Amino acid sequence: MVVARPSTSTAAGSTSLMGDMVTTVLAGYSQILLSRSKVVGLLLLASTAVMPRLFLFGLGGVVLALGLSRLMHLSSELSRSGLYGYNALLVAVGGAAILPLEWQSVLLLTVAVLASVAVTAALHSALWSTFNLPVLTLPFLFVFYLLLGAAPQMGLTLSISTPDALAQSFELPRIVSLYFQSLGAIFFSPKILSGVLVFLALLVFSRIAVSLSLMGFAVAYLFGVKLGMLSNGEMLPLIAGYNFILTAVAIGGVWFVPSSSSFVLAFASVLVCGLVTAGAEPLLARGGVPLLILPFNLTVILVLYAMRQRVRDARPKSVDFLIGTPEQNLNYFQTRVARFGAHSAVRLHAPFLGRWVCTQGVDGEHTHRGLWRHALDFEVQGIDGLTYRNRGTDVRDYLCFRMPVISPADGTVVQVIDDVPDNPIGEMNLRENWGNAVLIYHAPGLYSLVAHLAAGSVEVREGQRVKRGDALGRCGNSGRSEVPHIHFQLQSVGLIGAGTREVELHDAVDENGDEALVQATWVPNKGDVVRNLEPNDAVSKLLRFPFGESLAFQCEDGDSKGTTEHFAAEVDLYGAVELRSQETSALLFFDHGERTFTAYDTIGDHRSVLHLLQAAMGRVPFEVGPRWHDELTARRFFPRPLGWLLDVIAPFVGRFSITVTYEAEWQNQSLVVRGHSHKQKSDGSPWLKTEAIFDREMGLRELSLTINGRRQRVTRVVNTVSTGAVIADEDPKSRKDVEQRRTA
Amino acid sequence: MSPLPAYERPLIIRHESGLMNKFSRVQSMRPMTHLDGVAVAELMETYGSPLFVFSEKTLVERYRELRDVFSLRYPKVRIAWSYKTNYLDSIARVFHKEGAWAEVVSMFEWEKARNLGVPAEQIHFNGPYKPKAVLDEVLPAGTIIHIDHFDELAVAERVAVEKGIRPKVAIRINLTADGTPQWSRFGFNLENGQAHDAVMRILTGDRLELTGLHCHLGTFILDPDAYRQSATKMVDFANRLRQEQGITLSFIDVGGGFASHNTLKAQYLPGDQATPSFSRYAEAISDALGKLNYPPREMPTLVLETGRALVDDAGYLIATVQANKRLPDGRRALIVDAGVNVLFTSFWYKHDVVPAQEFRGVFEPTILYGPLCMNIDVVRDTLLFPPLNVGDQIVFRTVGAYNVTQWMQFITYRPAVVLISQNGQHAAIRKREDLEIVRGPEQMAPWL
Repeated sequence: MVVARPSTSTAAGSTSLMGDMVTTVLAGYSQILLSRSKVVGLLLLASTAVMPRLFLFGLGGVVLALGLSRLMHLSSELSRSGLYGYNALLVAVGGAAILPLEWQSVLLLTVAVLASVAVTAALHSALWSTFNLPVLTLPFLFVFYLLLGAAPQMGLTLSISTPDALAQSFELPRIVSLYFQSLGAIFFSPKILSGVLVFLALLVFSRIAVSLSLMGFAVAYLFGVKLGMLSNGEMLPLIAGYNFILTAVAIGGVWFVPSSSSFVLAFASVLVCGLVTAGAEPLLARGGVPLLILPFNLTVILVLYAMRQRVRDARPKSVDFLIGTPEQNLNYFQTRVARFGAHSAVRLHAPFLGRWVCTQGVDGEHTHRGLWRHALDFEVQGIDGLTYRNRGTDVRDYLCFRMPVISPADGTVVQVIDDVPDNPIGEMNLRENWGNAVLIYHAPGLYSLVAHLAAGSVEVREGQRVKRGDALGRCGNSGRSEVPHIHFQLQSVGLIGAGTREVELHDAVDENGDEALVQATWVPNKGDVVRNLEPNDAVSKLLRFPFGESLAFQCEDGDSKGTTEHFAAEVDLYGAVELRSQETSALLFFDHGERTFTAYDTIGDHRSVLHLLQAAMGRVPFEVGPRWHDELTARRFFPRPLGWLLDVIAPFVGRFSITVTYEAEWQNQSLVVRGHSHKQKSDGSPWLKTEAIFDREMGLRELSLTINGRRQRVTRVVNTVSTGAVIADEDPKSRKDVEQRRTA
Repeated sequence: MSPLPAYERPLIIRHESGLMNKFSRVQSMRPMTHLDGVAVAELMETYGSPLFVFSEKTLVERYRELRDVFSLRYPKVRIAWSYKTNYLDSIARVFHKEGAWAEVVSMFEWEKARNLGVPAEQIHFNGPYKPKAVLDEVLPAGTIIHIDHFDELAVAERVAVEKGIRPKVAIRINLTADGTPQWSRFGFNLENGQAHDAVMRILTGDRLELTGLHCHLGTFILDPDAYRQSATKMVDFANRLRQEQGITLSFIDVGGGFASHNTLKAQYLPGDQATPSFSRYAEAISDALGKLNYPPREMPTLVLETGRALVDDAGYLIATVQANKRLPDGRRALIVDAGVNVLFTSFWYKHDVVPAQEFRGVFEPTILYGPLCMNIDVVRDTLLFPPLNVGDQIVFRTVGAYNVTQWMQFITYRPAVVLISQNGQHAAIRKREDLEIVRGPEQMAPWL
């Protein structure tokens, strides 16, 4: 199943007003489950139809709210995301559920729905821009409480629809009925049928969310019914059920990457939610005010804000990227971990030029222990394997002595020591442990330290901004250092010598004898020879996709043989660059960096050439010679029922991916990038093979992917007009194929 | 039965009295019975004498040492293999496999590099002779030419217009650096402003893209400080071009010229002691480049065109003693089967030569003659050498540079060339010439 990521597909989707309206209305529904899928929206719409009044008022409310948001010139992107829709929807549905069917009610509701748009706009801005927190359903609560107060004054009597009388319902165990009723109660319709439809929507949205909802409900059941904390067990669906369920889904799968730790956090959050519910209910009840969805809002905002105060964002990892379904969040994050490393968002390069050997790794035998376990020492080794020449009795005999030390990333120098003398060989200065050192701030909670520099060699001052590659000083033998070397560590705290955090290098080359390997993220071990990637401009140029230029590719094999697909590079408002297919919904996010081309992720139509591109050139370093590994998401190769089953266990087990080794080679005027999977067929040949060929004149010329003997290959069609989707192959049949695929 | 003691010829030597020089007269010479673990005898049996032998291990080690000492000190380093030093396919491929680009000075060398699969964009084209026909081919292919003179500049512009391209070019400059003779015949002079004129000419012509500066100081330069001076002058020039004209160079080429471990004829100390290590050249050049006013990520690539210092140490010539002779002045002479037509560099160096088998006896002044019937055929001037017998082998060391390119077919055939791999395999990479090969290009005049 492909659920298109937010904004990207909707933004470029149908331009017709009607289509836009439908998308926006459905988003209003699906957003209640924190989803953005149209199917989810439709199912939720259907669930309200169990009580026709709710259906009519709900739909009317959403349309009204969207009309107002348009009139007020509120951001159409926010409105398409469903923000204004879902609050208005809840107001309308909630009102319809409790108000009598009189003209005053309609009037009151209209005013309330319109007010909800304004409140949403204001609250969203305040919460989002000030605290980077979601507005959730706070606008609904605000407006609805006012409505509850206003209604009696207009002479309207409130009635509360109760859950199905259990006896009349299907022959379901009580606990199951309560679960479905709780789901239905999200839309003020605590009916089993509504609940089943909401459940289906939840299932389509995410299997992980279903597990979480069950967990949330289990806690609610335990507290409410078994422990009798709620005054009336029968009221469980109306009071606690949906709050607990939504809290579990939001924390365990949407704002945190699903994992066992996110489930633990979700469990804890549900307990907090229970506390809020149990504590607030009597208080509000004294004023005759119902709890509604207040516990969910308070709990989620509390937990999100509290978790942001952590020094390190891990276990569970917050979703710091474009929020998708829990499955998408998990998949994206796991792929990101496998491909780019989990610990640091800042790309860190080795703090030196040339080739150095790691002489003490993490948990090393000498000093990399305890608080300082995550550190790396480096020296220079000659052809003979020795780190010195002559007898090695003088610091100047050491090959690394006075070699330049550079900044591993952009940052600001926060602390410098530059007055410690270099020790004679074999002696240590234990009073000034770090010797001459430079500490650089890169990002919140990320400082890098290089230590034991040569006396008087430091070239930077405190407060100075440095770029990656700027010279900091020279390698020396100061501080606790018996022979010249550099000590490199990362810290969370801005003081020289503070405890270490996980150290890693990015885009480094692991020179293991004649086999060099590019490591996207790497923690070298003792004895590993390390250097930084040395990008070649010619390779970089070949991998460039000029913005706006449409590239045509023709399928040579497989089902869609003969069809032509076009794609072009685009840049969006936020500076993200992507390749967008013109014939299909596929979209590939990429980065053409200084040292590497990276295709981050491809979404949409699986038949698109872009998925081929993702597999064949997911990552290409701009250096010919070393090989590299990459991970392909294996999920797209699984059939759907198996895939859904895997979703349920995915948060708790390792990732499902295929490791592929790539290498690049010049063949006359072409660059050829080949990959083969480690997974093998029974005859020992690779299960998956890829090839990308770049031509000096036109850049990317050919892509191919062979999976288990089935080959899929596309070649570039050159004689195309760069402005539009002109199909180069004038064969009417293939044109028709393309048209069909476009409409499909 | 114990073996009989080997026969030693009787010898009368003059008793010398007086001052000894401070290095004394002790000569230690060890025989070289194996090259990279392969017995000389085995090589002789397989390929015949004389024979050039190259050590892939030494080639790779020298390359990596050069690359490593420079890349420790400067962020972007490129080595362009100097084809004229040794353009045997196998030798060049060893360096290309290590990542070297190619530096060529003729269409022949360019074709040779292309034939080896070197992309045209990874070739630096040097030299004073690049006729239009050459530029017509190499510029559209993307090869970087180093312009030597204004006439070449004009031709390059014409090619650019005709082909509708904007080729990347460098200019070669010459300058004065203490301790080296100025090679003013190549490139544009820096001090008199000619180099600046050339840059302005390229800018105003607006047909070529200036991407590099090149200065090859000279050859066998034993003083690293000369490079400090030339690099400093180039850096000043590059800074000026960046500041005044906004030119961001993509490379600075300091040429070649690093000394190998050979000993020049005019040199007092032997090469082993006099030749600076690669790291001393690296120190001098990177110190100078440190003064570039470029942001770190835009630093131009440092291009090295090192030839001799990479390949010289890896080459050996095995020759066989044909005769012993006593000259009227009392010196001993050995006639060996390799002459100056094969060991061309014996005109330049006091070659390091040792016997290939265990020896005994007293060292005496000996001169080594080649097999040619020419008075100039002296492959090694007098040195103290042990007595050898006819059929014994000697090994000339440090002969990898220029010999297998500047040698000539003269009087006799040229020998085979063998490469020993890093794991001790060996194979002929150029076979011994025979009549067919030498006669190949000949044609009988039709009227004879």
